[in-house]
Amino acid sequence: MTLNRRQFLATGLAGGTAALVGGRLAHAQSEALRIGVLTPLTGGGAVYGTTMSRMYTLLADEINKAGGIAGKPIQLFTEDAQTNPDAGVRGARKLVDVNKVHAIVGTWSSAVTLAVAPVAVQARIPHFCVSSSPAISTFKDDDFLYRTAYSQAVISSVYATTAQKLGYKTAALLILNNPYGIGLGDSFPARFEKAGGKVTGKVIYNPNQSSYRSEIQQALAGKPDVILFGGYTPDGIQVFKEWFQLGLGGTWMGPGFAFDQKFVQGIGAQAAEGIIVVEGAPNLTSSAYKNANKLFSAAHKDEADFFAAMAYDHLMILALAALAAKGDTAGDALKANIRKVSNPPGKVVGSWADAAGPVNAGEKVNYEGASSAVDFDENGDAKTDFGVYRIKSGKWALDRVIKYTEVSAS
Amino acid sequence: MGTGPRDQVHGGVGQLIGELVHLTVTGILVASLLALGAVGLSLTFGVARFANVAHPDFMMLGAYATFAFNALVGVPFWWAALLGIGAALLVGVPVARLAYDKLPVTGTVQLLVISIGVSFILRHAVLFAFGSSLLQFSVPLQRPYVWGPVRLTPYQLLTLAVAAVLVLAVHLLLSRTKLGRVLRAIADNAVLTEIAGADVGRARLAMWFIAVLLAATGGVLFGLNLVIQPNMGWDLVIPIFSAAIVGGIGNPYGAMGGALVIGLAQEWSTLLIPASYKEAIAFGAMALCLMFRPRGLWGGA
Repeated sequence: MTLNRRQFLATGLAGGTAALVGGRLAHAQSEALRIGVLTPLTGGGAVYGTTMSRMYTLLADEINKAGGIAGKPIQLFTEDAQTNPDAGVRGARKLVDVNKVHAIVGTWSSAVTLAVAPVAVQARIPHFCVSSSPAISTFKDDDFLYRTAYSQAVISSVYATTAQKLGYKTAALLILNNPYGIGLGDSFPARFEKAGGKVTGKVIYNPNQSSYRSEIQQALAGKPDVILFGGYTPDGIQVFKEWFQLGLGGTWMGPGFAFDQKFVQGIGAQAAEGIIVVEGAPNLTSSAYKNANKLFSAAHKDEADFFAAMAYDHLMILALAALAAKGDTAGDALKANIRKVSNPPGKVVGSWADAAGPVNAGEKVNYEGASSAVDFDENGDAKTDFGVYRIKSGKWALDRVIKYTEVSAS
Repeated sequence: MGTGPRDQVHGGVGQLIGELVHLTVTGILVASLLALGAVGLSLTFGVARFANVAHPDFMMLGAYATFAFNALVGVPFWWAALLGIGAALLVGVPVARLAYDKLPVTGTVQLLVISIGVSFILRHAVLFAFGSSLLQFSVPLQRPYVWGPVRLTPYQLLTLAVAAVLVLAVHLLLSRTKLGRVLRAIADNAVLTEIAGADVGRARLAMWFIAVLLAATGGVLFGLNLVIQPNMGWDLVIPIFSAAIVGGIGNPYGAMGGALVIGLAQEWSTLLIPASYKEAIAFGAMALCLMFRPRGLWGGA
């Protein structure tokens, strides 16, 4: 079989999703929107990174099938950040230097995000993350770094509000001896007392001990209505195994990254039953979420979670920004248009089909996202709602949604 | 806002006594796990005259071998534990013989450095084979028996029983058998013992067998009570060495007492100071002991 020059060119350029539109690519004068997907596909964030990568692919396919951005497709280039800052920076350098991407999306761990951010800033391309470190708000990013997740700075207020809404009057803390745990221990009591609660005790534990029995006993000693757990999955498995085997009872509350699927497998559904999980919640009633969920569940037989919703928003905002810039995919052009398409005022839109027409016509739109309203503040942070889940038969079951407005009120 | 441990004693004297009993039980449980490591460590120090940093890694070896038979091959836990301890002996004893008895080095410091190397090799071999995630035996979680403030699961009772039986067996072996006499004689004076015609090589082989057997059993019980991870041996180095030193290093009986002192000191301390310092207490107990009784609480003058 011989290829003519055009076929050869098309085959050479097209890969992955781009193969669908390879013929058109060969004709295109200007550039495709090249997106670097830098999610963790291995390591601690692998579950979330895989979900996010799937969502990026699904949405890129949908937009490309609808004709792409001003006739040009979205191309995705994937690197595994391995939940490891070194690997993240290596991946980012490759995406920037070799693939010449116009934006990086999907960094999950705060350590990876803060390591990759200087690479993106230096290349002057937008960078969307889902990390929660407060340092991401204050990082000097020249407005190139955006996050769709909540900041840990608000999480103490979220726990206080949740405890109050569930009718809990007293709380104790069992927290890991590291900056995250101690930070929670410093900020939660004041917030909870402001919300009318009383803290009965605060116990700090070290990881990898031969026993946690005395720590657990102490945390439960004041018979608190709820015990706030500030640790991670590995130490969580050890602590909760000992807690269950002490048979002392008590209601626990903690973050989604501690009480994840690995945790439930580790201690068993019986011991995990009834634990309260607080995690960012998708913007369930938005048309963006409905579309994201439709795409995701059709392809993967599972509901789109908070992380899938955030991935949907990253790519949609970048695609709309490129469209608003009349197909200019340069980092500065994208940056100049990100808030124009995602923040009010403007016509509220939630899907590519709704938004492409008005944006093409030069109309101002306000994209309401699948993960939140995605209205970015001056730090590039969006404000998300929170879901309060209870573990039932080993799965998270949504109990209620706490609006971000309710959080700042308490 | 009550953040000091004192404020957490809410129910007066009754609750205080309850907590003290709970802490004592926990301390004894911790001590029984530490003792299985510390007795072997002290025995090897007495006979081979060096601090074997890789000793707690024999605990890890027992736990991982048991995990392999139990969770990967699907052997029921009790048989897997026996096979796992056997496998740890098959690996651990030759490794110890090769690294510590057969190499042409004798100095205490050289052997200490070799043992650090052995520790790294064992740990990284396990990391390579099993990965770094934490693992658990496939045994169900248990609910405790409750006798007032005493709460113990069947496995925890088993842990106490196995530790007591093994420590008693070591005692009988050292005090009532010919091998025990030879081992004690080597600990006193290796050269004289050899001159007197005892087979020192065979005695050392027996010593490594006992040390690895105790450690591997301790590792399996540790995994049964908590979780298994490649660093579990490394994490136990300080408490086990503390127990052995408090008991007078080289003295296997002292190591049992030392484990009890460390376990109880660290758990009782949580009544007075925050629990995050309890491991420092174990170290503090060791330091105090070295200041006032440099040869250990049970050490002779």
